[in-house]
Amino acid sequence: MTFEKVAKIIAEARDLDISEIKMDTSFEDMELDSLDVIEVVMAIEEAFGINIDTEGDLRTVEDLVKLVDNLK
Amino acid sequence: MNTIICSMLGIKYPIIQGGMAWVANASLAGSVSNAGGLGIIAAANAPVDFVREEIRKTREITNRPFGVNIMLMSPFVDDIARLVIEEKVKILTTGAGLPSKYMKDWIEAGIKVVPVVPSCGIAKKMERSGASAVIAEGGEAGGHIGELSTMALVPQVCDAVDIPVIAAGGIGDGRGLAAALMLGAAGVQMGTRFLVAKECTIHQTYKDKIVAAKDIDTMTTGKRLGHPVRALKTPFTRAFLKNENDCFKTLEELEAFGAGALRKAVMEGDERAGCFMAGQSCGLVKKEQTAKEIIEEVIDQAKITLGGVEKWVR
Repeated sequence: MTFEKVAKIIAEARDLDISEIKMDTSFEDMELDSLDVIEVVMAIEEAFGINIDTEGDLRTVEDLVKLVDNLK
Repeated sequence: MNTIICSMLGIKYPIIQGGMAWVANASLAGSVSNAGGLGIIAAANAPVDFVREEIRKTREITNRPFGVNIMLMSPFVDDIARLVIEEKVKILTTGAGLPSKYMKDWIEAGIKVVPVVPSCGIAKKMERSGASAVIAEGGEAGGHIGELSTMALVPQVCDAVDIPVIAAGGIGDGRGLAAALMLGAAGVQMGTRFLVAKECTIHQTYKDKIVAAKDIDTMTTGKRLGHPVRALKTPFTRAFLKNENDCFKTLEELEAFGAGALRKAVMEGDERAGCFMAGQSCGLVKKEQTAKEIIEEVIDQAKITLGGVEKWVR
């Protein structure tokens, strides 16, 4: 369930087509630079009420989903 | 001139010296701090022993506050993050990434952390992590830069966060300081202007090139690598751009071409292979002066500029 929510947040935060966001999609695939990734991380933090401090290690949607599940 | 940044950092004037890699050593940082600004030692890619030595040397030069700039892409960053706690450094600036994972330890050690930020999102993230202030740096700056310009970025960051904002990028004199205050900033960070400080120990060729440089004499390379760099137009930067635009050159080849180029400029003044990083304010830099002369001139000019504001609103 986390994946669906995360994908929706990414799509809304950066104006992307949600159908193109899969578990193994990387931020690079989505053409998101480091500043875009921070916007996504901030939106995720707000949506799940968590604090992410390892944003530098995030590469794919799956990384983000796992992190959210661990921190929830 | 006293702003919230002065009382927060224990400095006389709201001027912070940029943490320029290979440039910002004890000699420059100590002199800037002695002159009432905030001197910064650049940890850059340097190993721990080197940085420890610079911190200790700075303490011999000044008993006023100074800081260390942590370059987050350094291979030694974990060790440097611990070193600054051991050495009881009071103020840190950070660059080339987000220091989130070190923030808790630094703040517990009583360190004031002032990250350089290129966007409102990162500024907010840093505020949440406990930053004391942020440095909003526009793409007019020298070295590694972001996309937004100072004029557009600073007021937006001021709106985005409740902590003090320091403006950087393109500021080379008192008019820049005055303008930064008008945009909502509580102070400025200057790099390029301090390159030609008498106490700055870079190669004389580097200083001469900065003094000679005009408004159009910098360019940006490295966009393809994801980390653009502003430097003086030289045979090196032109060759780099040519390689960058050559689709047959791989990213690895490009990285290799740029490796060590800043050091060659700073240490050897190598005009062919050196990368002379500088901001667009280089055209405002007219002569070598002591750090004290630079700071006092900037403050005096800012006061005159601010005092003349009325004439525009009558």
